[in-house]
Amino acid sequence: MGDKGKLVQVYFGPQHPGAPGNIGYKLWLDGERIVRAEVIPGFLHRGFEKMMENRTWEMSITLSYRFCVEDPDPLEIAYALAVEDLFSAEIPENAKYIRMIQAEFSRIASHMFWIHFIGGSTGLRTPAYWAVTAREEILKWFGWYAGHRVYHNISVPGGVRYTLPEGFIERTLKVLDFVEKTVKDVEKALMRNSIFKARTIGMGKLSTKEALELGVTGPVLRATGMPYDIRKARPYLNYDKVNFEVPTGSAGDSYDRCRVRFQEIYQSIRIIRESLSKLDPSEPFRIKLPIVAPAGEGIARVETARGEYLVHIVSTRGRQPYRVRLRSTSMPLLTTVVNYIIENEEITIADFPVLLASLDPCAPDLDR
Amino acid sequence: MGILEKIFKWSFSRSLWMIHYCSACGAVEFPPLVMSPVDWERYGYMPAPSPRQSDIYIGMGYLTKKTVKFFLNMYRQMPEPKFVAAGCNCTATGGLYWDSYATYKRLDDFVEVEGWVPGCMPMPDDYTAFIEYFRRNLKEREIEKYVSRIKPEAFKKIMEWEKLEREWLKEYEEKMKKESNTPIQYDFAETYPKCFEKDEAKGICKTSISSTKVRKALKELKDKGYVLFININTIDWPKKGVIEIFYIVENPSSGEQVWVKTFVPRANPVIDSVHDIYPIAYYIEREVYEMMGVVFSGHPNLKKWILEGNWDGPPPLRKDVDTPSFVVKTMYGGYRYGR
Amino acid sequence: MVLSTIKNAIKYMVKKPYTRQVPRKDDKYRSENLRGAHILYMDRCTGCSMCQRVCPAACIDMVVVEGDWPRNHRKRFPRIDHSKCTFCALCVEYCPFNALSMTDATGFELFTTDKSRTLKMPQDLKPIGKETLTKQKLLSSYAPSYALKKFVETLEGSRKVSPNG
Ligand code: SF4
Ligand code: SF4
Ligand code: SF4
Repeated sequence: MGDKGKLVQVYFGPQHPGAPGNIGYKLWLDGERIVRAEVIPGFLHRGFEKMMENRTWEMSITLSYRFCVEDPDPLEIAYALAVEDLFSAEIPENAKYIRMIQAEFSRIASHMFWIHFIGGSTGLRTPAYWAVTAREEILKWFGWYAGHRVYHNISVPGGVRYTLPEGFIERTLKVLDFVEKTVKDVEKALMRNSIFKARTIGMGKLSTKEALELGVTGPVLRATGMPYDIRKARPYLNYDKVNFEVPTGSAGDSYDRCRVRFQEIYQSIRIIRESLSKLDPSEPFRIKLPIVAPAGEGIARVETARGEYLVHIVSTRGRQPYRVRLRSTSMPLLTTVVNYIIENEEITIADFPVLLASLDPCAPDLDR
Repeated sequence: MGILEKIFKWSFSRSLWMIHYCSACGAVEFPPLVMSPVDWERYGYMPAPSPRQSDIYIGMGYLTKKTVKFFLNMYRQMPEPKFVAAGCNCTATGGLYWDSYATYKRLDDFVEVEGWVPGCMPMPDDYTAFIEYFRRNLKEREIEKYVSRIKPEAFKKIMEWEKLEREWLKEYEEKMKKESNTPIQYDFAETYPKCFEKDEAKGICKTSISSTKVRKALKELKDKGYVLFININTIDWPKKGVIEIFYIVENPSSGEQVWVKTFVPRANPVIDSVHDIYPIAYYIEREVYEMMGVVFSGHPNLKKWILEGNWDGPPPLRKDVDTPSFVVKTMYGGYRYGR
Repeated sequence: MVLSTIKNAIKYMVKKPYTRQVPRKDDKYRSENLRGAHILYMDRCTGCSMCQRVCPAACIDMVVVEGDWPRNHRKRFPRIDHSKCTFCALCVEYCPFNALSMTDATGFELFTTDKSRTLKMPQDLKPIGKETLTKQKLLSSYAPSYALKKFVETLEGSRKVSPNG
C-alpha cells in the first residue's frame, strides 16, 4: 500500500452500469488496487418510517415493500405479520400458504435478477438474458394473480386479498417448470464457465466468525457454512410444516455465494410445490381486522432474499402506528463487508463490480 | 425540408441511446424492456453507460433531492439534441411519496419533459407507447426544437427549498433550547439481566438497563454468543420527555434475540457509542443520529449520511417534527390533494 | 471450460424467440385482475369520501359535478389523479357502495404529452379498457358468509336509494 499522498480518489456510481442501483462509492486507489471504499448512500432515501406514521394500517401496506424493489414480497409479508402480531390475530391457513408461495416466488425472482446483474458484471450476458425471461414468467404470474407485476399488494393485515383464480395450480406449476428448466440451463452455462470461475473463486472470502461479526445474514452468511435461516430457526407462517433444506457453502467466496443462491432457487421451487398441494379453496383467505389497534407492539422477523429482516411497530392505540422501525438487510453488505474484503484482499477496480454483484445488495434497502 | 435533414431525422429517430442511470424503483422494469421479453434494442434504443454518448434520459421514478442535483449535473453533460421522458408517477406529481421530505415532486420543475408514462410502476409494454409517439414526432419536428432544456429557474428553486429547511432547523433548535428544562416523567426499572417481557415463539427477550451501563451489557451479551447486531430502534416520546432506545442483538446458533432497552432525555440525548463492539453499529448509529438526533459519544465520524443532500431540516423522525405539512406547504402550495 | 456455455447457447438458438410483439395487440400479459385506470359508477356513488380517506397517495379529491344525482345530494364525486395514483385498489376495496372498479388500461393507454390530461374528473372516469378488478372480487377472499352478506348489503343499499339503477 502506497502512502497517503499517492492514492487516487475515484467516484464509482451512482451512474455506473456496475453499481447495484442508484448508489455511489468513493474509492481510494493505489494503482489498480482499491485500498479504501466509502459508500455514498441517500440517492434513494424517502423516509418510509416517517411516511408510515402518517398513514393508517391498511394504507401503509402499499409503502411497506417499496424499499427493495427486487424482492418486495417478504417485506410486505413482514409488515402484515407485524400488524397481525399487534392485533393478536390468527390468520387462515390458506393465507399462510399463499404468502409462502408469494415470498418464495419473490425470492426466485430476486435471485434471477441477481443472475442478470452478475452476468452483466462478468461479461456473460447470454445466461443473463435467459434469467430475465424466467423472471418475466414469474412477473407475469404475479400480474395474473395479483394484478401487478412488481408491486403486488397480496398480503394485507388479516390475510391475502385474492382467492384462487381458475386454473391457479396448473398455471403455477407450469411457471415453476419453466423456471426450473431455465435455471438449470443458466446454472450450467454460468457456473461451469471458466471465465466466471476465474473471476469468482477465491474472491471476497469471508469466514463464519467474521461474517457474523460484520452483521451479515442471508445467503452471504450461509455461503460461509453456517446454516442460519429464520425460516428454520424461528419459523413464521407455515415454514415448519413444509420440507426444505438450507443450502450452505464452505469457502465463503463469491463462487460459493452464487452456488448457494442457485440451490436456494431449487429449494424455493420445492416449497411452492408443497404449499400448492395444501391450499383449500373452500376455506377463507382473509379475516377482518378492527380499524383501531390496541396499544402495544408488533414484531415480525422474516427471511428475505438478502437476510434477516425485522419490523417493529409501536402503537399507542389508534388508526396509525406511532413508530415503525425497519431493518436494512443490505446495510452490512454495502458497508462493513465491502470494507472488510477490501482491507484483507487485493481487489482491483475491475473486480469491484463483480464483488458487489456477488454480495447482491439492494441499494434502496440501505436508504429506505 | 432538405433531403439531408430528412435523412438525419430518420436516422436519429431510430438510434436513440438512453442513458444507463437506474435512478429509482421504475428501473427494475428496464431489464425486461431492454432485454428479451420486449426487446427495445430492435428499435435502436440502447442503454449507454456515459452521458456523453446518450440522447435521452428516462425518469424512472421518485426524484430524491440528491438524485435531482446529480441528474441536473449529468444532464448538462449530454450533447444536444437531448430529451427527457418521464416514466412512473413519482416523476409527475410526487405519487405515493407526496409527503416524503426527501423527494422533489415534479420533474418538469427542472427540465422540459417530452412525454409521461403514468403507472406505478409502468409495465415494460407501456413504454412502447412513448416510443411510438416519439419516433413519429421526431420526424415532424423543426430542428431547433430538438432540445429539452433545463429550466432557467431550476437551481433557484432548489436553493429556495433548501433555505426553508435550514430556517426550520434554526426554529427547531431554538424550541428545543427552550424545552430543555422540562422535567422527565418516565418510569424506568432496570431488569437486566432478567427479561421484563418474553416472546417464546419469536425468541425475543426484552430487558432494560440504564444508558450508562449499555456498553457493559452489550459486551457481556456478545461474550454469551449474541454476536449478530441487528438494529437500533428509537422511539420518541415528547410528552414523557425521553427517547427510548432498543439495541437488538441476536444469537445465531439459537435464533434468540435480546432487546436491550434504555432511554436518554430528549433535551440532551447523549449515549455511548458501541461501534467498537459491533462494527455494523458504526453505520446504524450514524443513521439514528441524523434521523432522530441521538448523539453517540465516542463515535469517530458522527456526520450526516443518508440525509446528506436530502434534508437540511430538523431530525425528521422526531415526533414534533411535522414533515408532511411542511412538504405540503412548500411543494403543493398547501393543498395535499393537488399536484 | 466455456464449452458448457456454448453448448447451452446453441440449444437456445433453435428455440422459439421469447420476445413478444409490440405494440401488442394480443394482450398476452393483461389479466383479469390487472389494476389499471378506474371506473366510477356515478349513479352508485354517494359522495361519502371513504375513497379519499383511504387513498395512500392522496390522489383522490372530491369535486362537485352538476346534475341530477338522487343518491348524492351534495353532488360530490371523487376526482382521481392518474399521475399520482399507485393503483393499489384500496379505494375499490373500501368504497362502501361498490361505485369504483378498475380496468386493464395502464400506462399504454394513459400515455400523454400533457400531464394535465391524466387528472380525471368524475365524469371522465369511464371504462377505457375491460373491467377487471371489482369490489366483489376483493371481498371473495373473506369467509364466504361474510363476503356474501357484505355484497348483498351493498346491492340492497343501491336499490333502496336509486330506484332506476
Ligand atoms: S411511481 Fe411507483 S414505481 Fe414509480 S417510483 Fe414512484 S413509487 Fe416507485
Ligand atoms: S366512490 Fe365510493 S367511497 Fe368514494 S365517495 Fe363515492 S361512494 Fe364514497
Ligand atoms: S388505487 Fe390506491 S392510490 Fe389509486 S386512487 Fe385508489 S386508493 Fe388511491
